[in-house]
Amino acid sequence: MNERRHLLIAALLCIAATGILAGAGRSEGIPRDEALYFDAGERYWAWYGELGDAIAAGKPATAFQQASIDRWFQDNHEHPVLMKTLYGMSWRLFHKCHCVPQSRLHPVAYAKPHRTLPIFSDAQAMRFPAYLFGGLLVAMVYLYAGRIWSHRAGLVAAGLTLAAPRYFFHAELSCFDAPMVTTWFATIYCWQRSLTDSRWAWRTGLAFGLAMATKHNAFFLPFVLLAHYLWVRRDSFKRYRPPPFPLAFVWMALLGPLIEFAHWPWLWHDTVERFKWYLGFHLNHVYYNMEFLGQNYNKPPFPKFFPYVMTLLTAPVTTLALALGGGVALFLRRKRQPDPTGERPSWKRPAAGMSTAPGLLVALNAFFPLAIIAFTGAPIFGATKHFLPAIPFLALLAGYGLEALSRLTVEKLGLTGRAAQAFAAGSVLLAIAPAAAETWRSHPYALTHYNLIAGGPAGGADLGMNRQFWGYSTRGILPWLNAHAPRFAPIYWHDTFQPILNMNVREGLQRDDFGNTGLEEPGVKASNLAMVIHEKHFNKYEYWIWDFYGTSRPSLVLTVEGVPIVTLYERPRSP
Amino acid sequence: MTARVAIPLFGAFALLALYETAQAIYAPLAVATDEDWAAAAGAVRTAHQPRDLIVFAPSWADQVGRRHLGDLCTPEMAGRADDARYERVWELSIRGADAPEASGRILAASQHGRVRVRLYEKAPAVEIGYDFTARLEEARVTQVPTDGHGDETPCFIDGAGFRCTSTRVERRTLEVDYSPRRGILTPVDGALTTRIEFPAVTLGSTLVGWTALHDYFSRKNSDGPVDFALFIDGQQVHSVHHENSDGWRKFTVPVTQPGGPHAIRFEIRAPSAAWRTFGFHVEARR
Repeated sequence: MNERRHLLIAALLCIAATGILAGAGRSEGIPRDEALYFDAGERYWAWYGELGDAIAAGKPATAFQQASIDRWFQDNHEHPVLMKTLYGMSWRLFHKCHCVPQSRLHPVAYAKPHRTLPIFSDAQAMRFPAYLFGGLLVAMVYLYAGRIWSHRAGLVAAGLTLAAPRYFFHAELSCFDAPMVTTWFATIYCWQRSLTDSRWAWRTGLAFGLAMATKHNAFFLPFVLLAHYLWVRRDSFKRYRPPPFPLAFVWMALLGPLIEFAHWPWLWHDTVERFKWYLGFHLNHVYYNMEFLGQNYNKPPFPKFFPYVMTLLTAPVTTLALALGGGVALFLRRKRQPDPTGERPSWKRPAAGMSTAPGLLVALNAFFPLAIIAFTGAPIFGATKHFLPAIPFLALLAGYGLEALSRLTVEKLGLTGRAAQAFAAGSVLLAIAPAAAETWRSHPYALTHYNLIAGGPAGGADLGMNRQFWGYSTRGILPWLNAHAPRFAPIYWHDTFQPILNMNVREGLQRDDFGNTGLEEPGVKASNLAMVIHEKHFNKYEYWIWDFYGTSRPSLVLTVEGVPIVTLYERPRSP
Repeated sequence: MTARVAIPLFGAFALLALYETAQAIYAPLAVATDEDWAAAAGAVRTAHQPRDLIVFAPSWADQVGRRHLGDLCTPEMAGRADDARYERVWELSIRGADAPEASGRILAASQHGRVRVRLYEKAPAVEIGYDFTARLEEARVTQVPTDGHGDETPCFIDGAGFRCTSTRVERRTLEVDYSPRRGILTPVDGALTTRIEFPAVTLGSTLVGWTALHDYFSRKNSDGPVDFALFIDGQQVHSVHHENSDGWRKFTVPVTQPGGPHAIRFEIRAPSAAWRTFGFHVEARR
């Protein structure tokens, strides 16, 4: 097949993955952080509206004044704004507008309805860019594997990337962790190509800039690229000469900070102070709670093996086994292959005529995101979300593993022609089926999901693994509340906060008369319905409910394969 | 990899893939249903006696179990200090799990779908003569400066508890190492010693008690010790220097003069009061 046909296949994969995510996302609950980003997206978009108004009034400079920028971008300024801005733009373009009657449910008051292309609900419109980033990742994985190994390995890797339960969950959300996987991968893809093609150097810089604008994980990208480059050009050290400084690094150094600054209006005033605050926020991040092997961790030291065990217990086992096999096969076949063009390396093409060690680059990226958590002492509260960038690279290793195994088996069986093709197609399906089934099984409560090794969600609970976080699973009890709660019921929502409830109402998932009694003990005391979302450190909230309601008998227990995730209590009526 | 191992390896891969796929489809269907739990709960109700303990295994199934038996498995039972006061144990179990409380001779066993019910005969139950947590209303709660320079200040009755200078003493379900424990919550109040005195207690052979630091957030935010002392008729008979890592710490004090009435006083203080949400439970056993 020629390259154009592979690009077409990649485009189809992108559309299919985007569609699958969009379909699944309709039944996914809204986590705390996502609700914050919903609000931020609307606010950020409002600044662009203000900018348009200022331009129309012939006074564009007013929109760039600090007061105007801070009014909109002060919100959630602990993260760069690329994705939130895209979420806001997508919402503005595609939502079905009930903005005026529902104005109190928005972070911005609207006096008149928006003219839009009304194809999505509010949340779906917000999430659409996240779905698209998931689709783009799948397409890039296919193309990347096709370039370095084979497109069949790419097809497997693309499927296994999407069919990773925890990644799939995050890819449904208008958050940053899954888009970070896309921009991380894009940077690696461009870097690989920039080693032998100078046209990809500026693209590497662009991808790195977009990664920085997505989330701070990007700060670690240069380290993995440098490690890879030093290995690729280890010949230089044998000659006691430093290798040429790659053009891609120059572009990264230029475009990374430039895009970070340019895309984020909040940095346009007090730039140094605000950037220092941004770094400081993440360097001194508060320690949230995370249950791991029966112990609740909320301050250092954290277990160094956490990311490895989490990956071992959450990724589909077949994927892990194939990835291990792929890693072994790559190691066994390692060799330096001269580039067929015979070009000499230079700073523009720093590995021209040399092996670019793509297998090493893939393997490095399969481990490096985990190692960041393991060895920097970073908080572990995000379960797997902070090392998700490893997922497509694990999938690539698995794709390579299957390719190598299938090829050898076909040879050994002496299959040729259609029989060999049928065998190959069957093995692709066999590789993707368990991952797809696990992902299907995990939806929509993938943070409760553990794999075959753990014994599923119940096995995860037996092992004392974190059951969930972010308070998103209350969506599952909304039908009961809608049917049973008295009108204007005062409800203690526990970890589910008001922006989530507002979006639930906007989505038509929740009655609009429910009260929210607020936080902690006063919130429980004031309520007549109260819930506890199960995480180990949240147990005390259930005990408060017992004390203030005088009963330990729940009215509803939402479970995943028998494992409680939300428990709801009603205050007994006075006799 | 060589061709020699290709076929066995491919076979292993195919088996794993098929098994994982089948498991992903089958496992969600193979869990205990609401009907299973209801039937198991029905079996317990038919033979339940007042001093029976009900437990669920594994412990994470607790909420599901209480959904069906929460009227019998009360907050007092769920937050028990230990199981000494119970005569028999009902264990409702899924996935073949065993509850730590469930031991001894099995008196009855039945299976209800995927829920197993077993009734165990326990060691003879102890008789509780006086439960200080349950009878908190009979106490007089006061505070004195820990350094001894100042007057005793009474706390006043406020609902089911006592309001002191800047804290409340009340009966609560404490969270101790993420488990429920019924006890008297006595957060340390600045540089004051909180005194909880029961004026007329009939004692048995022993006083058995537990001390704890309630609330993971307190344990996260501070690590200072809390000093707890127990007095009988004005004589200190026991003290505990309680730290975060002590968990639900048990003590036993032999009583030299059973009967009564005796004045029993507990004193709680700490070098640093911040985040010291101390709690305790004591009972006089016959």
